[in-house]
Amino acid sequence: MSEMVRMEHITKSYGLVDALSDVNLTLEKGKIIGLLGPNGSGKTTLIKILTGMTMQYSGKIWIDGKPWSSDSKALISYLPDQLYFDQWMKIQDLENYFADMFSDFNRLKFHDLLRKFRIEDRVYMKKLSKGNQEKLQLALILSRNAMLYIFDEPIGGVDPALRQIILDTIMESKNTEATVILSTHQIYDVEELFDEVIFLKEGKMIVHKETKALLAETGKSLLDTFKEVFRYVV
Amino acid sequence: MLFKLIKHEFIASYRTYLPVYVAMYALALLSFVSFQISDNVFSYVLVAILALLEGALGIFSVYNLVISLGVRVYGKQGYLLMSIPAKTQEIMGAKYLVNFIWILVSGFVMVSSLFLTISMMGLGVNFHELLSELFYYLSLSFWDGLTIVIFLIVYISYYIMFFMFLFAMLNLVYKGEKKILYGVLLYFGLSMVISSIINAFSLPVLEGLIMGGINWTIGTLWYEILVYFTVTSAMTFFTYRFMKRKMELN
Repeated sequence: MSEMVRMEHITKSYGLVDALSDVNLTLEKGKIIGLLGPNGSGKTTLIKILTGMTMQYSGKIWIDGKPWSSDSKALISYLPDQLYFDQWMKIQDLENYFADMFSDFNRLKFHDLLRKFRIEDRVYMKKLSKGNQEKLQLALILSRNAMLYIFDEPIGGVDPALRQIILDTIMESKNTEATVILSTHQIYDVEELFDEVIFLKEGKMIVHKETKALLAETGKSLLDTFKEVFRYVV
Repeated sequence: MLFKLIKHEFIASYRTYLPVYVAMYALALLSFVSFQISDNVFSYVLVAILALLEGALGIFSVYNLVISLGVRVYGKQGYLLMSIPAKTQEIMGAKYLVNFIWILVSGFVMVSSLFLTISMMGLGVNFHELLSELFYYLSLSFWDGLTIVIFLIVYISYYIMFFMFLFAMLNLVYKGEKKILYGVLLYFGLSMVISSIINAFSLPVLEGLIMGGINWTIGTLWYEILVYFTVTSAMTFFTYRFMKRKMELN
């Protein structure tokens, strides 16, 4: 299987603090990868570098075998950990924006997801609840037929029922050939989703293994392994 | 991609500009009707409101530049803009072109509504005569007219690029939460530095003017064009570098 992402010697500092320290990573196509770590471990920083939201770092990145450039963004469907809508926008405006900017955007899929998430169409953004805005953002991201999906805390702060819907939708909607990176610090119930897991701790990648191999090695669940690695209460 | 960016930049901005333009022309029309009926206090109040609106449009244009070049690039909305497969020069180009057009249109709306009102107030100013004279002068001296147009283009470009450069600098030097405070401080700091640079190079011309050694001619305007063009080009270059190599969204 060929590689989708390769990162070499990625280091990123904020002042004197290293947010990421010499991270080397290769991710294969078609895999679902859990990017796990406590708050402040460097997950969002790693994602921002991968998606071009931050350009101040050292190291090299390849996406689908090519050095990272603005063209790489055409392959990446990225859900950030915050809402990025202008409040004057209508859902229709956003749909048109995505359709214009991303050639892989599927309007039919988008409308299906709107129905699934029960989001009313033709509504100004400011009239939607925060939860509905989050679901709308997720629907836009999943309506692309991308090669690499990156979700930064898509299930943070949502109720368990919606959490399950979101996770199910991500798994159902993604392009089967695509690579998925899902960052979270809420480990419970997600171990069966991941082909591989990455543990980040204080900016360092301390584990990158296939989930099955890791669980067999530790003889514990992913949650317990996570607790042990990060020295939480076991 | 450039045309798509321009299209969506217009969609994002027209909602804020058009109502103000409509209000200004409506007020100018109302003043016209009012002056036709009688030369009363109400008519002068309308003219005063129009004058205030003229000033407000100037401030409003600056506000829209801040939203377009600052908030929608480096704020939360930047996550959407920066996730699309557009090159830095395309993003900069789209923002520059759209803001350039809005400034031109705003200038036209301000001047035309003002002339419209003044010509109706019976102050001896005839709008048609004024326009005819202007076109007659320009037809006599095409080169002079062209120089003035180029000066305007370069000056508006300088104005837009100053804001683009300001926000790129702010993003480079400050990552905290007090962006507005630091933005204002940086604005005054940068204004002083850039004005000093421009003044340093413009000084011989000004000195010449005062001493009577150089006449205020079109040739002098070309010197100003050169100074502003050089400063604008430098700001464009550094903004491009900062956005391409140092961009960082919080």
